[in-house]
Amino acid sequence: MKNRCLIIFILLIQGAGMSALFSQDLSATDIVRKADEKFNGEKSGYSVMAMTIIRPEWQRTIEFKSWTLGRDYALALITAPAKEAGQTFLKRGSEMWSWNPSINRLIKLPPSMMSQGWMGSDYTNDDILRESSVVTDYIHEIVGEEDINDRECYKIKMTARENASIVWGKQIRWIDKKEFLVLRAELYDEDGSLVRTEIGSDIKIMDGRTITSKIELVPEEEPENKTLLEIREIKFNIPVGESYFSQQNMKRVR
Amino acid sequence: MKEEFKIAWRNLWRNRRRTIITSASVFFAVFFAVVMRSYQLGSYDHMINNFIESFTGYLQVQHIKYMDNPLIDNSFDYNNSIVSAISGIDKVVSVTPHLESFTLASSGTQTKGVAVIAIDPVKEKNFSDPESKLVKYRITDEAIERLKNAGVIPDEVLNKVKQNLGRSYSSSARVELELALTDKDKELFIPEILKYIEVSNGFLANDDDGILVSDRLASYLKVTIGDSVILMGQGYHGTSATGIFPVRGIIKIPSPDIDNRLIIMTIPAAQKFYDAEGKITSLVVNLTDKSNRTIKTAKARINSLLPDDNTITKTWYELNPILYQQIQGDSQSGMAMLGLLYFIIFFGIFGTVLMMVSERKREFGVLVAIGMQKKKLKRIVTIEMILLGAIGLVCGLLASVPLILYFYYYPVILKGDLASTMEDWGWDAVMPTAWFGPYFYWQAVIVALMVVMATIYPLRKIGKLKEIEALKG
Amino acid sequence: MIWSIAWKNVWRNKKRSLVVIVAVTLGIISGVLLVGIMDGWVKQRLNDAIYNEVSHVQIHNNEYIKNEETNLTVRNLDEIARSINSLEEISGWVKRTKIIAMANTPWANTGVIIYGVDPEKEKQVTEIYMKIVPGGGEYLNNQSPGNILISDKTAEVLKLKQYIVTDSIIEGLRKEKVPVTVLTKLEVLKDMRFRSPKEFREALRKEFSRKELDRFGLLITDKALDYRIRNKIQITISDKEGTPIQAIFRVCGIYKTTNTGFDQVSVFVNAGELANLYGGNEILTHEIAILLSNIDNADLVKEKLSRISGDNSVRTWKELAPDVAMMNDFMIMYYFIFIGIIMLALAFGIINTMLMAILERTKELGMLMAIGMNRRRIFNMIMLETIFLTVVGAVAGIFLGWIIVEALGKTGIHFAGWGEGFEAIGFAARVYPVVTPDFFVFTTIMVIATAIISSIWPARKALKLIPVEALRTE
Repeated sequence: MKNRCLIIFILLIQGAGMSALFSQDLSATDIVRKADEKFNGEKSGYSVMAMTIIRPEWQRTIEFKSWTLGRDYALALITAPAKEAGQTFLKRGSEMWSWNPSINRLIKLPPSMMSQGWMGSDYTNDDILRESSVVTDYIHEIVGEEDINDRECYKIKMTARENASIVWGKQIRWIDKKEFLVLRAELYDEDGSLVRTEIGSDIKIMDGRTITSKIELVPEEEPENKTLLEIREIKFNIPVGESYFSQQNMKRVR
Repeated sequence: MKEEFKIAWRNLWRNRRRTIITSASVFFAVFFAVVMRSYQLGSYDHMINNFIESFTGYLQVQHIKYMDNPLIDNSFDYNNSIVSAISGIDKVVSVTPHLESFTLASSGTQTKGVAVIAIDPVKEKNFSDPESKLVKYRITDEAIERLKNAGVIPDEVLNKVKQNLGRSYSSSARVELELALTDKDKELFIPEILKYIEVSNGFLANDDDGILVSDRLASYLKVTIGDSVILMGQGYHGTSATGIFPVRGIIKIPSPDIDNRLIIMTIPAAQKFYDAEGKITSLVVNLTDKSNRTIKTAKARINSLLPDDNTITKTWYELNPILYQQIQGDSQSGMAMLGLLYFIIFFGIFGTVLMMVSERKREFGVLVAIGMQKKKLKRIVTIEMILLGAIGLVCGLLASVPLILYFYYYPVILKGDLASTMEDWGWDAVMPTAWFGPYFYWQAVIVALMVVMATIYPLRKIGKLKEIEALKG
Repeated sequence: MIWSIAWKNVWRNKKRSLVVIVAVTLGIISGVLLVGIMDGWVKQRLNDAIYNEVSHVQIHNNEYIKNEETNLTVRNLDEIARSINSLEEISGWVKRTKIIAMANTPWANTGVIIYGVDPEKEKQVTEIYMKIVPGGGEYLNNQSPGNILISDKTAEVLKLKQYIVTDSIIEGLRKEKVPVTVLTKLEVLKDMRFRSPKEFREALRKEFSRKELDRFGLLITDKALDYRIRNKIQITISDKEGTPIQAIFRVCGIYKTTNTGFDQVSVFVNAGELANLYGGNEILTHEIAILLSNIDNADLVKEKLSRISGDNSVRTWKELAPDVAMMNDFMIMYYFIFIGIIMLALAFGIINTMLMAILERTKELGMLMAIGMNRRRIFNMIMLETIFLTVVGAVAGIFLGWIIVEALGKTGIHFAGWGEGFEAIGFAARVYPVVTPDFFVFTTIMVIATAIISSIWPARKALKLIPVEALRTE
């Protein structure tokens, strides 16, 4: 009972749909949406992140800043290591551009690059572009409740919609009831084989929100490979407009 | 025994004609078998060797994971002393380092996935020799205009040139081949034509930071010498590899597939680009021949020189199992042809022997009738056959020697499309015979066996001989 | 009269005649067979290249050949269409959209060429609709949307060619008399999904002995094969501005031609669907493929169409698949050399045997001369005998050879073990020998020529022998 009140309270603050106010239980879709909106539901956002690529024989960390506006605009600036620093990536709708100061050239990423790992990580350029939506492209269903790290979670099964442009067959997400944090996500192909696992941890409060500041991506076929994303800083609803996300700005942003 | 030998010997010379004819059949048998096999092995080897030497090399030293996953991450350290040591191994002809990977090439609005092969410009001469593939002539609209205005060649010849608009060539021989002019026209006009379609080209200096671009790729990216191409992709351990490279030269690769997407640069330039200091992806080792023994010995020796378990030596057939299968298949058909030949020459021998027995039926009858033991007669006849066989064999082998020598040094020159494709790759379009080797003696052995088999017939005949009938003649 | 004497002589000495006849017969049979095999291969490659890959004539935008961009469609389409329809030599033609794309599944991705076609019309020009593998779904049809036809090789690369051992498969194997020991070992692998042939083979190798693998490996692999029909493939193409566009297609069928190289990159969808993807209702045409009723008209048709093609280029199969054309030429050269050597060897064999025969018949020949046969007649007689022998052998050889080739032509010869190597370059692992009437005629002529030439020397020798030695009773 206490939990449910808390949820409603949060919903009120967020200004979510009225129907949720009066429903006893949140629908699975709502839960997923809540979790999704944690990082980007707001109008805009700014974050400083570090991505560590872990392989059996080596390891590399890339630090970058990123600005987002809704779902359609994003700009990322690499700040470390020195060799890559200064590179920027721009997303406008379904287009993705890359700027490299050392060669002074702006390049539009072609489809053949989309399936490659972004900067060598296990995230594909496709993931970064985020054409698909966990909310609209799936049918959601609560299939249980489990504890992860002493936090009670909804276990939600997400089945890909017939016409959605995603390769996954289904996902299972464990979403923390209290804060709607995705503590674990398992991505499956259509035949029910696990392809990838995402684990959220290190819960912190940043800019007034509770989020998982560490997200780990583990591909199933090669469990010794991992990509670890750490959020160092995050600000929600920064004053930034569409004009910020321009090719000129790619070259100027610091 | 000695007595029988003498009788046999005299028998042979008693009827010279018969002797000559019979040993001639053996002579021809050996001669044809040896020459055919020599040709088969020679031409075949020629093709395979060309292929192996230009594509995979006989052996390659690679990172142990490279073959399954040809990524730049699976590269290994270049070690000068090891390379020298390998070069010193018996039967090693050349050791060529390569750094190969894939990346995106971009120029203006065009972007394409390409293969990058980084080489040592000097050492590469011993392997794929890209310098020989530099485009020297190109038939462009401009060149045709100038040719027309200069008025040095007649219209029909100009038309032929026009038909080949857009083509580029790395040698004047190829130009001649494609224009297909009459011999007279060739002499008169080719030098003129060449002057107008000549293009300047460049190569890579030892430490060059520029690149060579394959012809079709260059036209896709719309670049020529002096322009720049951007390369970007993933480097060693996931770093992003980006760089701008000036185009130093354009090369023409005969295979259109490869011509579409090849970039060549120096190893230091690639190491810098991929952030893979000191690393290479393979050492290509060429040997004097591809016999099993040579390859296995060399492989073992090289493996013993390698510093650790991360690198391994692979043979050409491990690197290209499909090619290997194709060669096996082809070789089998060659054996089948040889088999057919054997069959025919056996009958040549057998026919002659059959006739010989027929002709000497009376003689045998008489001998047995006057008391010679059949066993003794059989021995005599056997010795005769052996002698005949020996004479034929030796003469046949000797006769084949000059033929093999001649076509080894002055092989048959191929013509037609097949030939021009071979030329494109820098191979001689010839069909040489093979140098003397085990096959030489094997043919002799096989024919000797045939003689033995043929001898069975007269021996049986003698065994079944009924003197009376024999005497009837 | 000489003819009948010669004929009777031939049959008088059965053994000698039989030797020559059998040699010639068997020699010709093997020659026919070998040539038949090689010819069969080349013809099959040609057939497959034309009916699966390049057709007889194709038309593309001139610029498209250098640079396969989406906007480089065939120019003046209507005019071209009219011209093609007016030609009497064609038997069918189609238009195709052809775009370079990336294909993705959760496990793998690869570059492909996506063909937007009209499935029904395609049947007039290609035979791919007949090349669906067993258990591989079905061909495209105009109705079901979002379908994509891929090859066995593409399925393998995208990890859609999987292997799984289920209870029903084990049951099926039991019915096929697979021993219980093998089946128990198989239980270990039950319900595990293997996403590539290599993975499955490795797993099998761990459980089974070499001998068991040799005997049952193929059967188990066959039964455990599971093509993931109806699975999703995400296709990404570039629109005119180079922006990636994505869509999901579902695998409707798996095809396989003899050319893995072609298979690996070629996928097929409905042209209309592809058009929806790149926006606009217009179906773009990048390629026109034309099939003729007679392959020999290819150059003629090319010439006719070139006159009105304008900015487009018209190419025949020889230009589109130069390796096939080269093979054809190569084969002819091969024939000549091969047949030449065989004939030479045969000639020497015949000469030798006949010479020996002459020696043997010295007395007989002497008699003939004594009773008045003149030299020329004797010469002719010997010649005729040789020719008869050779020709009888040749006839038998050609007849038997023809029967064997016909029989094998139906069943085919299977070259196990080199299958993969051959298919990589487009040759089938199973070849159907074929010999053209031309070849038979050619061989017959060669044989007769050989016979005549090889008969000359023995005949001359015969003349020289007599009469001096003839009457000697040697």
